[in-house]
Amino acid sequence: MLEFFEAVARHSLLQYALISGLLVSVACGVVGTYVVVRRISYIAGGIAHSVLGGMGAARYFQIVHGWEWLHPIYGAVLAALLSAFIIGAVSMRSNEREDTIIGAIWATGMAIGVLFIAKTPGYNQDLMSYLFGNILMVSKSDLWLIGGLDLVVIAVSVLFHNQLLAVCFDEEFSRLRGLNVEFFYLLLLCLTALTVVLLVTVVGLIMVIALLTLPIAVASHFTKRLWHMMLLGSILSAVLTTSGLALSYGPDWPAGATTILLAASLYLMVKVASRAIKFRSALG
Amino acid sequence: MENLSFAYEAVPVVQDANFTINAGEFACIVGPNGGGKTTLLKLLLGLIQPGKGSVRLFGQPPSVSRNRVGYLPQHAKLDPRFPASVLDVALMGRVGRGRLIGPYSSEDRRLACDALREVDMLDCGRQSFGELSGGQRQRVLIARALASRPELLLFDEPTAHLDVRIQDELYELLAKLNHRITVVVVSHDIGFVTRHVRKVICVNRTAHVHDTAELTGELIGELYGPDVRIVRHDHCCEEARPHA
Repeated sequence: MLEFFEAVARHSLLQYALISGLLVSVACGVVGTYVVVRRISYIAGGIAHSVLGGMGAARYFQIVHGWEWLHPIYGAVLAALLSAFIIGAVSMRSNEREDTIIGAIWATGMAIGVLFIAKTPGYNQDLMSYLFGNILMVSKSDLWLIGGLDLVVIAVSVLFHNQLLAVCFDEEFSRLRGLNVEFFYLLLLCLTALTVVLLVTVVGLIMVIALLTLPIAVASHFTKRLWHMMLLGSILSAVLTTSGLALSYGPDWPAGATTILLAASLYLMVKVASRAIKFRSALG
Repeated sequence: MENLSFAYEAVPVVQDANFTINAGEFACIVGPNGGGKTTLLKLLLGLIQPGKGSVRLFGQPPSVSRNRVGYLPQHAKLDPRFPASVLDVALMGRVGRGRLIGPYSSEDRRLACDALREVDMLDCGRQSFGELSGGQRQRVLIARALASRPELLLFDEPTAHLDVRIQDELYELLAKLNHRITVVVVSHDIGFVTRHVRKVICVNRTAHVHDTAELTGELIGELYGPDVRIVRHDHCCEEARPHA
């Protein structure tokens, strides 16, 4: 651990990794709470996997056609928002089963990504970092992008907190109060999409759902109000991403996987402890 | 308050239903499960459109005037694990009324607190909504509706899952509110209607004909005694059938 903090002081890459982890945690706690209480983590999973299509395509055009400005994160944002819109529109307007369309988006996005990456010359290191994340690859310019996205997500969530809370709690009542429920549901899906993109940089797209939901699930044991849950969720995910990074640094483990395992262990511990407390109070 | 009236004819589930509820009334819509009560409710709120006929709410199409209705859904539908305090829930009644974005105004907070005081739940403001008993939750949902300053309170199965004593208290509260607000209660199992209910509308779509009816309190009183009126669906629908 000490070795890690010494290294942070010396290497700017580690500093960027640390800062991006902390930035992302705020959006993760805020939007993750909505995802958990509205029970749409499967949608978040679908969006996360479809992001590969956007990233792969952006990388392809960057390398093959020399579109230097087309950072993979732009592709990711585009793909995520597109998926959110499709899933939202289908679940509100069409008779198709929602989980069918989520599965279709999930796999189609990945297929597009795999094709583009296969046709992109060079090593396939990109694919691995998209799938499993590589927080140490975050550059200074990435940091600005992450910070900007983070700001958008948090600002929108805070400004529309009351409406989103009401829509998540009771859709029917909100509609009768004159709220445009469809708009707020789509807004929520878009926020989820942007947060997923942010988290992909930290843990990769496969493990996004865990980081989006586990800290919130832990926080829900200790909080009774939505914004308390968001606050504690943000703090927990900041602690988890930081300790994941620190713990993985010495033995040279993948940071994303370490973070997820830490989150899962914390969740398990809290679950077991709360069971034990309930059991004891039932006895006593 | 304007005169509240609606009438409509020939919708697939509900057929040739005609009735009016006047401002200031305490009305009860009863009927067995599958009898078309929910359809009626949705029509009334403009959530679905009638195939034939028309619905008027405060003399306007429901989609225009429904924000003047305080609607209480079946509370079983709400997620008991949702992290919201009692005050949070009451404040939701202010959504769509006050500011477009940002936090609630102090006016919103005052109205939400007033509403909670009216249903006797202000002391529980900080408690978690999910931890309340069924009767308390129902009171908080009434406060949420009241916070929006409605002219009509519409309840879907308010007494489901509640024991008889709590049901009584709830009807007592509704009667108190009825002094200034029109109250409409929908139920599949109103075996027991307190003396406060002034109008009973029976809904059942069986045998092609759709029956709705208005039973005066006096009529039920004659049938079942002066104080507590027992209304059985089969009875009132038979009474109601115009050509029977």
